[in-house]
Amino acid sequence: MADDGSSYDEVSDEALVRAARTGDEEAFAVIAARHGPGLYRYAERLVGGSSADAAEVVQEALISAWKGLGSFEGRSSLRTWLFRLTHRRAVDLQRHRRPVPVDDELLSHTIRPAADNPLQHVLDDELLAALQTALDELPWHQRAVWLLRESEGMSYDEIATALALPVGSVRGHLHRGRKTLAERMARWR
Amino acid sequence: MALGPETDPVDPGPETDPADPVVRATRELRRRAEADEAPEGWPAVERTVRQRVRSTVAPADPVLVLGVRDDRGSRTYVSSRVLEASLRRLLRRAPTHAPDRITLRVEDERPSLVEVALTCAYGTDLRALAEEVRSDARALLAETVGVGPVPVPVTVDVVDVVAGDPRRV
Repeated sequence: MADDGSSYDEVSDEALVRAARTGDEEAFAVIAARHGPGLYRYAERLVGGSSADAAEVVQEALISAWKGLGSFEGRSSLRTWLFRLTHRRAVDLQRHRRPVPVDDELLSHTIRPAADNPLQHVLDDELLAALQTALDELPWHQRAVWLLRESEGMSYDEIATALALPVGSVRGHLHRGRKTLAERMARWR
Repeated sequence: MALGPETDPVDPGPETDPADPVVRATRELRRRAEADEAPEGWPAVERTVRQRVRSTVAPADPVLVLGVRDDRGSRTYVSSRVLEASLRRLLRRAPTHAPDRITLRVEDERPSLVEVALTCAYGTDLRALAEEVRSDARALLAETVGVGPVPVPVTVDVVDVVAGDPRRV
């Protein structure tokens, strides 16, 4: 609910940023609710399927967004800027952590049961678990670029902004990532 | 979340064969992302972020309220953060403008300058609006912390103009 009593639900990201920048916590809560689930999904896949790590990454990214709204100049979309902050926090986390193996239990928490076709659901679960394992084996940038392109549907320019990479590098990482994933997943043909 | 064909010499694009395992896995990944309202771990993160945002204290100065001093020397102060929040509410009342930034400067425990950046709707009379904003801001300060000997300068900076109500677009 905005200060004037109206709902923030149909308000644009730009208007929400304006309001949040002047200290409106409700406007920021709408920003978090709108973009947070996507940031969480990205972080979870990026850090190897760990819910705890994804939670930490997204929490810190959103808090830095709240504190840094004054410096957001709108050169990129709000969504791209939030992905950029999330990616940075994920990089920080990886730098301070030793590599840990993927926890299949945690992965299973992210997958909800299908009501209609249990066999297909099990197969899909296994396929996604295999994809996560293959993603974990990709170099960091290839994994990030692949997720932003294939899962989040971002353009090359948006990915370049989110990851602070030249567009040419984005193309290269994506190409190599796709090639490696295809090789790793070949046994599922 | 349809991706348009983006062909390029370095990356010829993704495999599109529906039998390809990466294509199948990617489709499943997107289907679940679109079907699920939020990942399982998200609600807890959302609650924590709300709490942390609420407890993040922005820098503020105490502003002395004039006219409420008793014979024992008691004083009343209002935080500049409270005044900025009041100004924010004041500046969101009409569909002609919305605040982009609000800064209240304090010197010797009194407001010394109000700086307001506004986004306005196309067609708004900007000069008249600026006068109205100045007058309303001074009235609010007078009502909340009393009137000093010198009127508080109010700088109005129109930083953007948009089509429609800037509180919503």
